[in-house]
Amino acid sequence: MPGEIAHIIELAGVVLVVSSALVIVVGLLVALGTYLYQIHHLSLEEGYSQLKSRLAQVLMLALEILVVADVVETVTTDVSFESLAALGLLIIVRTWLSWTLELEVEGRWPWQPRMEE
Amino acid sequence: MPPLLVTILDHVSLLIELVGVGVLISGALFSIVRYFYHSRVLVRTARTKEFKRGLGRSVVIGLEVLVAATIVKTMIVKPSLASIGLLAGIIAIRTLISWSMVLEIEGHWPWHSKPRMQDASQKGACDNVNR
Repeated sequence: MPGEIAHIIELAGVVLVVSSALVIVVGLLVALGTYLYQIHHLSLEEGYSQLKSRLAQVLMLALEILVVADVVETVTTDVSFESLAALGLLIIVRTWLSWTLELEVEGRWPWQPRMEE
Repeated sequence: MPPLLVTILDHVSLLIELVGVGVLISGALFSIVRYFYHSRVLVRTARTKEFKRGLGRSVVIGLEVLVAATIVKTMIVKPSLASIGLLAGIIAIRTLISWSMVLEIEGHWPWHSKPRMQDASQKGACDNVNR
């Protein structure tokens, strides 16, 4: 791949990673801030479950952006078995996290059908 | 990735970790204070149960914040099998703790949801205690 294009794609990957970090920082602050702001209006139970699902949603969004960054990285990475295995493991970790976060918010695995209302 | 960015993200993940530990400590302190506050109102078994639930809740929230810190760390880690394997191990442990906490607080695994009616009645009962 020509150096210039590789450079541009790499830059795009960095931008994606930074935006996902921003999502985490801002989302964390908003979630905790909302919790503290509402702490007197809600019962402990409600406040807890709202904070928990807000945090999980923030992390899910950030992970989704990171997956895009991972895919971009597979384009630019120097192909060796070592680096490919590392990237694969990283993708497994992120996929696992996004599954368990969805489990926390929805109370079911992503492949399970939605509960009947 | 530019080295400046790596340093910034490193600091960010450290800050998030501090927030997570803060949540854990303040949640534990709050639960302890509440336990003694309740000693005049509730019988011992109810008090202990509320104390356990309070501790569990703060652990779950603290863990979730710590997971956020770990996600930031996965952005800056040098892509080698050893370093990413280490992160994977940490994440696996945290997931396990979080599941067992949910099991303890709610009495069922996260992927087993209880019937809604039962949930609602239990929630109402706890709200009375919480105030």
